[in-house]
Amino acid sequence: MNVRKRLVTAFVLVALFVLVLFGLVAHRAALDANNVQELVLLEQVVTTEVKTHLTALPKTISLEQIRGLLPHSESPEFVFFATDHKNIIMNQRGSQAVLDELTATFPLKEVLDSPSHNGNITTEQYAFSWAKSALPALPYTLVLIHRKDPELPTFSVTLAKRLAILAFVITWLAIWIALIASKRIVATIDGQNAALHHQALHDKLTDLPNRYHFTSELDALIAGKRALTLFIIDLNNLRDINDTLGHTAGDQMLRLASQRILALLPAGAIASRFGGDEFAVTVHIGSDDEIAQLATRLNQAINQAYAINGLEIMTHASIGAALYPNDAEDAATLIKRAETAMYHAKQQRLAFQQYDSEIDPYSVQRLALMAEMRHAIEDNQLVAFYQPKIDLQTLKTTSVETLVRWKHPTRGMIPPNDFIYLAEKSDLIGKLTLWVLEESLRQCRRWQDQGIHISVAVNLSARNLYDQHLAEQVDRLLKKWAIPAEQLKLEITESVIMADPEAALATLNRLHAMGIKLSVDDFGTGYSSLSYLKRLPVSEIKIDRSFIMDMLKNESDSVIVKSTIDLAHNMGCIVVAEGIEDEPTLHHLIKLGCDMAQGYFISRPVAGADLTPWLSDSRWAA
Amino acid sequence: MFKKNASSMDRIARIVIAAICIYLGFIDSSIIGDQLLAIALGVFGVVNLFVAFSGFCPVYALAGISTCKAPKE
Repeated sequence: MNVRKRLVTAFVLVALFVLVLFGLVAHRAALDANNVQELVLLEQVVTTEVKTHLTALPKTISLEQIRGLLPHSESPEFVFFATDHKNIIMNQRGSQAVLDELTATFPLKEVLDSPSHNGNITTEQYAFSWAKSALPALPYTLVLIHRKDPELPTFSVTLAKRLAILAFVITWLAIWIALIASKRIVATIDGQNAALHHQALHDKLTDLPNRYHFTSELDALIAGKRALTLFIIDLNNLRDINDTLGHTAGDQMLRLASQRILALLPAGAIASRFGGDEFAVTVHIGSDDEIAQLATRLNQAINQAYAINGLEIMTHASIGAALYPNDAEDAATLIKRAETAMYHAKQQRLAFQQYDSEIDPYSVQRLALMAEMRHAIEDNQLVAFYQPKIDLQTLKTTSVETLVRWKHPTRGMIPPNDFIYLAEKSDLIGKLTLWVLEESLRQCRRWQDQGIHISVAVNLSARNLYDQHLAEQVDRLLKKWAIPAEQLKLEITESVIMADPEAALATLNRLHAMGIKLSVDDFGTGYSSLSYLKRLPVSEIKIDRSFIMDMLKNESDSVIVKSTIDLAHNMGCIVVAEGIEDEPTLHHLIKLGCDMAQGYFISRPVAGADLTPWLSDSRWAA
Repeated sequence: MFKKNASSMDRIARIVIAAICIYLGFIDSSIIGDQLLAIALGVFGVVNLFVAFSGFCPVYALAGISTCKAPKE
């Protein structure tokens, strides 16, 4: 409106300026025209007078005698007089006082000398118009003057009046036009601004609100204090589609996916494209059932085939959800939580995951635990436990696997699953692994000294494999405790190796070259490529407990175990079965040709000091 | 069809303007002395008279303004 007021003011000011200019020019032009007309009239009067009354006069007539012949003037402003170029005479009606005043102020000589028959002269007091005519055959001249008052002439008054009315009408019209034109101009500008504004807040491809806009909308919704659920939807193979079919195909799929998402949303829901293959949706629902239902429907809609370029393309979505106010009380945190849930779903290959602090590596409890872990190593809060592995031919213990526990001062014993990944997220994993290695080798040395010759196995994490100093550090510790490299086994889970097989291979080759035995842990749970596995310098494969535990009940598990054993043997590896909980399982494994076994049936993981008597006295003694 | 957009104050002002313009334009045009100008003024007065009685101003409608009080939200 501000712009508009300024526009209207400008229009009206311009109109008024033009009007004033027009008035001035018109006034001057009219005055000039008026003047010329008057002079012509004056001259006509003078010449007519001379022709009708003052012709054929005797040559002897004197100036005095002419006085009686001069015409009468009705107005004192119009004065006739005759002159012999020295003396002036007026007709009888003119008083001497007027004549005196006239001769005193009227520039007679100038008029008589003028080659023109009429003209204007302005003196200090008056403005005069004059016309003159010589009397035929006489040395006299007849002059008519119009003495004008300095007051505004009636002519100007009339003109001014008309101009004023015209000005009024024109100004009024100008205001009309200004109002209408300004409306048009402002509407155009507003339209352009709105388009720019829309562009800044929306995703170009899908026309959904962008992340920035969505976040502020979410803030506004949260300010309303109503419970709501935020879904983060991630399409899993957009990159492959972009790479194989081109970006146009990917864009088309995103557009179709956004339409499918929108079609499912109830009124009041807001959808957004966060960029890439990520969408966000916020809905005013709060019950777990409703959330799960909507997630299922979203998944079903997105997972249907997309017809692009005549091809049927499939994708699948990973959906994470977080609730206001249960999971977070502000938009930024809510989005972070929902994304955490989505990443968890993606990692676990789940269709949907609702936020839970258990899955959040950055939840407050976990961050606190991470901070405390820094002290745990220095304060000797970690404890090494050992679980024996027996040889299935001799039924004797040949090796132990070291498992670390955290004896937390307030939370009690924390199992490795609850803190190892925290160490992996921080830089503590290197320290932790070294601690376990040192502890295991120390214990191994102690057993050696007591005449118990068994090897120890230590688990490595993914981060350890990328640590270039790992091999040196292991070497230093082996030397420190005088343990031959063959007596140390390092276990790496299958998924770790497969995450980056090339990097893993470099470290594993160095360790292998040192004589250390390498083992693949949790075999069967990852997505091993046999071709990679073949290239790895591993000497042992540990079949995951999930296959062993149900082996007797589940025929297919038994088949998998059997095939794995055969496969491993063909690759020159020995096979360890984990999770033996009863004797029949043990016997079955022996029958299948498994090499080694480990599990609660043989022994739980126990502290080093407690295991020492077991190693010499138990049925499975070394 | 025509939404009112002139307030009562607006309409009163227009009655006054219309009266003056119509008087000068049609009733006693000798004051102005110019026939063309008088007719222009008179027509102008009639337009304002229409606005005063109908409460609808076409120019306001085109310009998207209203002197009526905005309805309370």
